[in-house]
Amino acid sequence: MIRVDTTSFVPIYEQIKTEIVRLVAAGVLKPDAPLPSIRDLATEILVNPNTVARAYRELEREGLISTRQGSGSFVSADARADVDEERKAHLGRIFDASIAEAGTFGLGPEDILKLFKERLRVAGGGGRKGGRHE
Amino acid sequence: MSELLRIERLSKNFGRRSVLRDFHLTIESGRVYGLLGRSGEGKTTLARILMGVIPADGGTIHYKSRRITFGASDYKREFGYVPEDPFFYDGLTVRGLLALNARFYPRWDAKRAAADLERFGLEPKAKIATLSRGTKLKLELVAALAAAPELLILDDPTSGLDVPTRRDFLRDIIRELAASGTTILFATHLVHELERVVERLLILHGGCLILDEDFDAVKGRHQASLEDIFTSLVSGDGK
Repeated sequence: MIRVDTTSFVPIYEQIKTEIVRLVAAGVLKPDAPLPSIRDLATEILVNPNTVARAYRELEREGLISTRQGSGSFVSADARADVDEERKAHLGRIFDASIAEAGTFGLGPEDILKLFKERLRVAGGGGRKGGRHE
Repeated sequence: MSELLRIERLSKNFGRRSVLRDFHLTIESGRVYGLLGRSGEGKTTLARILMGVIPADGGTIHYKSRRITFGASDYKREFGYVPEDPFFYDGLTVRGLLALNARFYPRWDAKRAAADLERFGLEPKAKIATLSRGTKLKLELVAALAAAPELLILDDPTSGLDVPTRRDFLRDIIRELAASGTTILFATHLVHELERVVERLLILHGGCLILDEDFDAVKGRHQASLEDIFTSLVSGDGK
């Protein structure tokens, strides 16, 4: 369920972090759910265990996961709230880019809003299509 | 992390051809070093000097702060070596080879060797002469890991093997890293495997390292894949 692309310019530990955030945001990994051990995840996705450890360490520092001595890592109980914030910020950045682009075409707020509603309708009300976030 | 190996001003010539010159490298324990270089750039020469197969012409090597001299053998018991073309006594069986190695390595782990044989599907009674190249590679790895090496030197071991076999090999290396945090010097010209495990990137060109840096930093700076970074750094000077 966690995928990395070694040809990407993004460091692998960053990709692992993004993937875990994505899975928590999508509700696949629920609060208090156990994460795979460093060793299992490393052998599954074929990357250096130190790289997985670094991703876990940083997620822990950011409060998204917690590690209990002897029983592995878990999604934090309040991870969902953090992730919701992160998700809003992420979508906000995508919207900002679209708005800026629309501005270069000379579209005003009304035009943009109309266009956005139209796209929502096409997408079937903002549903679950192509739900992978980068 | 502590310093495991320090190589200074190493040089080696074959006839008039200078393969290594003014070569410096420090290896810290617990990390994976990826040594990239084109064929003929001296990766194997470096590995052979470290393993005491051939002498250097100049320079010094310190292992755990002790100077290594050509002909010394004690330090070699703490090194694991998996070359591209291993030398095996073809008449031996798999079990016979492991029994022979067990006598040389004080930290030999027979239980582990037996477990690895089973995991790899290696038949203990099989004659080495009958094994395929991929199977021989697995045997090499079993033998190297059973000796519980401080430093594992991989010298283009997967060159010429098919992709699934290379993946299997990589998976075993990763298992080993997770289990014991072995220090690895992985010399290769195949960038794809390296990309998944390398922490410190070394690029050998013209006899010395033209790059010795943390891989994530290199990637961030170049905004390119390892293949493109490697190609751009070593090509274009008519070599």
